[in-house]
Amino acid sequence: MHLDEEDDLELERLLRTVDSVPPRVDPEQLAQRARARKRTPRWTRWAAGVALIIGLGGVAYAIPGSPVRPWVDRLLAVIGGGGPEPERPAPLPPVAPGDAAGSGIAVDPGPDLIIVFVGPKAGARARILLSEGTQVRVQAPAGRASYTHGLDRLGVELLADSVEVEIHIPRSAPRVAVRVGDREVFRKQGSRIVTPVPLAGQAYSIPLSQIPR
Amino acid sequence: MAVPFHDQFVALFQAQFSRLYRYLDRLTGDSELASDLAQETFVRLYERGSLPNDAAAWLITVALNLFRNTVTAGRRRARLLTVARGEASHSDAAPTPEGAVLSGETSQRVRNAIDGMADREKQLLLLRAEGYSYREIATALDLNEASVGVLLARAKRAFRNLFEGETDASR
Repeated sequence: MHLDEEDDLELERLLRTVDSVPPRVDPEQLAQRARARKRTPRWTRWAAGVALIIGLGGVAYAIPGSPVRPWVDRLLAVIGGGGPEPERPAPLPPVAPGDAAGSGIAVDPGPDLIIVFVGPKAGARARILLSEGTQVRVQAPAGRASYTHGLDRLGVELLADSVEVEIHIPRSAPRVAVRVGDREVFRKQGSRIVTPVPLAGQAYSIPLSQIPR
Repeated sequence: MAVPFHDQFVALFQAQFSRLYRYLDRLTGDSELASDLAQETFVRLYERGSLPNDAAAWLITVALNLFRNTVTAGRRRARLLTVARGEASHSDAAPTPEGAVLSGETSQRVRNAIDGMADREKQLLLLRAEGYSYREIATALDLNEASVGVLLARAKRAFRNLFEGETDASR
């Protein structure tokens, strides 16, 4: 017995009441397991795990409309010291070569995107075209519109009268709607187009000064 | 001629495994977890490639760290090893003959008393009951060896008080 005093016999006897029979374990098996682990160093297992996470994150970021993208963008903004900027438009190059006055925004359509025009202006129009691209692009003359982009919402504020805004919607986009204020004026759902205006050439031309009926 | 590490490992396993397992079994109250922890500790020892100076204390320290990690991660039941259960078919909580003689009620009171003790006191008492020396206990639990005796006496009192409290309550 190992406990110091005689009455510890009783204590030891009590402790034995909770004992289980030891498992029959072969030390050779444990040695084999250790050798197998040594062949795969711990750091490589760790690195493989990190690589897998980064890979999955990259895939999630690349999926159009993925919620991961705005999270990463916000995180990068915070890390960059600029603080969180939940609605940041991505500037586009000029509309056409030589048209230095053009500006716009390109966003992934995701499963469901709503483009909302606020502050309708006299003579303003939206020209909507279906494209073969993967992003929704909205372009207007520079200084005539400002953009805000949320997770599934793109806001366009017209800053001048008689502005023509060009909207390119990918044919592959599942659902994109265009609203003027709280009224929907255009909707693409799959291959179906719902709008009160007829197709003119290759585009739908929708007035933004008044809500079409 | 120096004894190969593998042979040293096997000899140490034969001398220490059952003892380490019993200590962990009493500490955790979970025979499967105790088996996993004890086996993983010896796997770590083999990975180390050489025997530490105080092998018994080293084994306890590593086993306790593994146990803390398991509890912290909330994976008390997680399998640390994938050893085929058939290899350890005697690991299930079959009581020893002595345990079978005493009633399950007594066993439950002992279990409750152990569980009711402070971690440090519990570890001290159970290590000493397994025959670990004051020096090994002090090393494993990071204590001053001179204070082990006093702390151990306190741990025994705590166990008795809890066990007798259980007994009184059950009458």
